[in-house]
Amino acid sequence: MDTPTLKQLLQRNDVWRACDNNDKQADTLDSGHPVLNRLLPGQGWPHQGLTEFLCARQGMGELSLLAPALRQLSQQGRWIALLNPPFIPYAPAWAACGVDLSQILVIHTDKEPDRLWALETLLASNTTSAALYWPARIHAKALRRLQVASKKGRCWGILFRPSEAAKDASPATLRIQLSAAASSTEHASPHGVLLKVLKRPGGWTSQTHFIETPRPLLHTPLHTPIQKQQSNAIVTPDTSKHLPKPIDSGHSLAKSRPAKNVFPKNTPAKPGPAPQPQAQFSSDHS
Amino acid sequence: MNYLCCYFPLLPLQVFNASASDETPTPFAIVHHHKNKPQVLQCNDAAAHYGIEEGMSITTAQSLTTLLIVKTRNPALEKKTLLELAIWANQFSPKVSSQNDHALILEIASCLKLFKGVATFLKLFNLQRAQLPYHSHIALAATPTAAYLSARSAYHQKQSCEPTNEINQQINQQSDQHTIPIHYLDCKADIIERLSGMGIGTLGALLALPMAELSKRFGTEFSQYLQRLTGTRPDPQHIIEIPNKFSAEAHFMEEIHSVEGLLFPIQPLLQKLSHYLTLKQLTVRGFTLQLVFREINPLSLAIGFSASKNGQLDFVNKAAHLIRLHFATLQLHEAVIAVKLDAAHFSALQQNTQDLFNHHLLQSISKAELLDQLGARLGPEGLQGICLTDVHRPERAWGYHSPSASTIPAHVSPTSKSSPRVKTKTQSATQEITRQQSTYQKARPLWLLPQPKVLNTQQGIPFYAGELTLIQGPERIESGWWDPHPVTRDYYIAHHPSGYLYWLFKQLKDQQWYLHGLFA
Repeated sequence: MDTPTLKQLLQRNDVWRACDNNDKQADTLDSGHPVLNRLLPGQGWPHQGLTEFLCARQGMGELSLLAPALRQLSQQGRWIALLNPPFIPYAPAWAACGVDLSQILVIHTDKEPDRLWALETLLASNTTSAALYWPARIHAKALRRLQVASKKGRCWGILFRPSEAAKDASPATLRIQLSAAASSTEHASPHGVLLKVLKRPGGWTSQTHFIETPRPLLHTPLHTPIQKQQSNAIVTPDTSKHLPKPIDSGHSLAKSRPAKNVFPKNTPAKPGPAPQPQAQFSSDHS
Repeated sequence: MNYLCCYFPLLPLQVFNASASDETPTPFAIVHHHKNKPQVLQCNDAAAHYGIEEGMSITTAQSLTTLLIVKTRNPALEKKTLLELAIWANQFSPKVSSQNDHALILEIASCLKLFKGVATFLKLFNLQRAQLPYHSHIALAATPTAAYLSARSAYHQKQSCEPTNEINQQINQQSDQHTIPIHYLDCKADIIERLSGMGIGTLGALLALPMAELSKRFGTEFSQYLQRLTGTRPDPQHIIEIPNKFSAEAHFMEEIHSVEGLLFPIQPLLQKLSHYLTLKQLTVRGFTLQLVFREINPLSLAIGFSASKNGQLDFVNKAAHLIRLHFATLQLHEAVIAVKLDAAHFSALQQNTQDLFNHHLLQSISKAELLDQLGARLGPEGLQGICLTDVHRPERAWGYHSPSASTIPAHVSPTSKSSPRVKTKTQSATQEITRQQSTYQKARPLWLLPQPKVLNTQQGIPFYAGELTLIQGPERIESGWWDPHPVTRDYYIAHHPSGYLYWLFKQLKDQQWYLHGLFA
């Protein structure tokens, strides 16, 4: 008689088991990073609700971290909105990540109330799959409204906030602290970020993990220009044999992601006059 | 029962304010010139409370209450309103004509099959009629003239109809036509006077007399009228045609000072536009809303819909929402006395089918509507989409374009001589080509700086908040020598000790280093 009772208990809506979180695959989005998936509730990014990224500065790899998810979301046929992005979203790179550019909506407004209004409209509209916003500061009351709106509109609200905001309470579903993998840390690498989950449903604050991000850099191995030139009829085989070594060695080292001391300060060729055979000539065909 | 007459007795009064008949606290009267003397034509209940009545001279009326608002009758506006009502009535019958500038005649015999009988027809008609802001009376009859007569007498006799059997009464009215007093006949007053002098009180008694004798005594015009009434003489109606442009306006009894106060009176205008669109099976890409002021020039607001695919599904609410967003940034410098709504550019309604499986299509609002809402408040220039171009120079390899929810190419060519192969492909194929192209493209940063940033150098090594280590490059980009923006640069990827990756270039012309992008 015990077993059916337990089953009945477990079927109740108000009984929540911590282990359920990891089994439930239903409403999450594969982050594309196995290590990160294990950290996130439901093995992936949430489809809705706010996610805060706390990072000291822009450009440490936070977009590359999101790129696989944005690629999947752009296939949904809903907008991916960038509200007041700090820089120009560079179309060739976004396309190279596989993001469908026709779904990207860039919004610029000067006034703070307009920005919050626009973000709430985007989140609640049900026609946006993800809305990214870079607020300098944002009030907790506004965050609560945005959280409700994003649940209503089944939209993933992504906020990039300064790292000082980590100490403030926030209603966001997920809070993640990002820091660059600096040379002073044990994971010194340009190909990843250090990630710490500060807040997640059904879990404690995590350890700091190194997440390898597929930056555009990794798509093209560093020696690509050289390989190309070997097959290129314009460059004679003789010249390619006399390629200066430093760049090549730098490449192979960077690829194997070694310890921090393998990045000698002056690894590449001194940026003097570029070695002609190595420089790749390209021009418009239009 | 071939014709239905919908009689709007209070039209001269109600064109000025649709809600005048209910408990508006301000007494209000319409005057017209009768024998060169202004006298009250109609007044609202509040004015009637003070003892003002029809036919009273204007000075008497004003002496009864100082609060009285007096307006001169506006026949042009009444005509316009009747046309709007005809558009409204067109949803019940294709043949609508007007009678005496304040009644509509609907030919319903040919429509009863559609409405499954006269009882259902009247039920639907009364339901819609109740939403009109105008007081109305209806009557059914075999001829247009008889229908008009019945409706007029129904109004003047003020029959107390119980709502439950109102329809039955309206149907049975026809049999009562013989009891209609002759005072309501649409003929000269002296004829009616003579008839009543002869002791003829009702229409039944009048029609019992031989027609030839009546014609002899009262003229052929009167007998022809009676023949039209009974249906023995043909009575062709002039069918009102729906105009190709939509225009509606609302005049306010009191000036409106706040923007919020405008929203309410605009609703009926949108309702009319929605009816018009439904009737003509059209969709509208935009309309103009004109706010009329007493002193300064009218203010026009263009309200646009980026896509009209969803047609009039919930049109009124969506349009009202857009207007509200427009008003959010509007400052009124003077009180508004009237609002005009004009729409001229229509397109045929497309019936769009919904995807059975893709639940994202079952959204509360469409992607285009989201653009409309955002554009209405932030201005259309605040919304941009990004695309690729066929230019090799990094700062020109991308572009902004105005976003649209419909299919747009992810790849646009700056020049017209792009490959025709790509043009003929479908959008998905175009994207595929773009994606294939991008796989062999060089590493590009996700963030681009709006302007390249000049970097300092130390012993030839670029410096940006720390010493940079070049880890990939150079990639030479030499392009644009044929136009005023030539580019000769060597691009490098640099690593900052703090873990950042930067996209740098060295201008070959002056050996100056620049920061151009961030590998975010």
